[in-house]
Amino acid sequence: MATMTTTPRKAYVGQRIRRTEDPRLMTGTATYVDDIKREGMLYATVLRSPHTAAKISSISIEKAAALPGVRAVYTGADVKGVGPVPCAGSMPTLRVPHHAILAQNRVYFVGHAVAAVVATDRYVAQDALGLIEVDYEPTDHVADPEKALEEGSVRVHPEYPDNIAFTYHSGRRRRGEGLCRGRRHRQPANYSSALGSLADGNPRRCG
Amino acid sequence: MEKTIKVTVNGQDHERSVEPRTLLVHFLRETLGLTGTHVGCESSVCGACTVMLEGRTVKSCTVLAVQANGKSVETVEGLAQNGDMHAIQEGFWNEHGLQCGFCTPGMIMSVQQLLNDNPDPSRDEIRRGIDGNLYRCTGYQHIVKAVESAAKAIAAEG
Repeated sequence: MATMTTTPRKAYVGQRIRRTEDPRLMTGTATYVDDIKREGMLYATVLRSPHTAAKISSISIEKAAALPGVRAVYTGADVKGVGPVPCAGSMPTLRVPHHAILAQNRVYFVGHAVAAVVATDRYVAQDALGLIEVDYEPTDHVADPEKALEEGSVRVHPEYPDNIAFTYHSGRRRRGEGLCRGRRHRQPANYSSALGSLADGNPRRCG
Repeated sequence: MEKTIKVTVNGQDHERSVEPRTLLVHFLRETLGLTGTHVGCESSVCGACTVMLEGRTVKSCTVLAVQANGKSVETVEGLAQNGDMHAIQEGFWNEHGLQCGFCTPGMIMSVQQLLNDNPDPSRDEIRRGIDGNLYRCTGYQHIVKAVESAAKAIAAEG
């Protein structure tokens, strides 16, 4: 039998180690995206829907655009040629509605982005939001997932006949049928998550 | 329209002209360039912007810079002295009290207030002491341990 020789090495498994990135995170010297300041940098703010569901009958941006310091005001009409917000989900049956970066004629959740302002100062950009006039016509809505599944419920996205985003089957059906004597079992589960989006974590990569 | 204010931040005097509506957090971050204090919710909920104003914690997103006129402010940048981290920072480092670190500066300032008021807090008192600061990476248990560790280290220092 061969003899195994081992070189003494510092063991890491099971050891407490201190993260090398922590000191800058704890002393306020790290650079987060919002910490980046560049020459001539502009600030953007977003006007959001106060309604769960509504038609946008008109948007008036003239007063906001005329405010000194405002460089641009965008609405859904300006971003028609821009692709939809990509969906990172990849469930096989997932329906992905075309979600534009700014609302196109209708909003379908509270907080839906309706217009964006770009200005030389964050306070001016915020002021300009208050000068945008949006006429909403609130429409019927459903905000409860259980109620959304009921027959005849309002459709969140009219292009889909129900409010189901995807159907997911788990486990081996054959074995399950045997064990459960042919009956299909459903396990109701509630999953909730806060609003989220993914962004590049490395601020230096952008320039 | 602008108003001149004098604020002592981490022991250093600053005299600047600001719009009266400027928030203290924007004064610190943008006027003075102290970006260690973070803006999370802009509505006093998350605590990421917590700093000390005259020795008491405030949420600097809901304090006007002009309210700090003639007063002293302490931010996370002022904690480490001569390159040596504060015992609270050591505690967070040793006990893995942070992941992305966004909430950590505000959390650390609240812990400083907590330990100033109560140098030997129970776990419940620690949880109560940081209940104005949200942490979203994982959970609060490591932060509670970090505070216990810091309290012990401070007591040992005398």
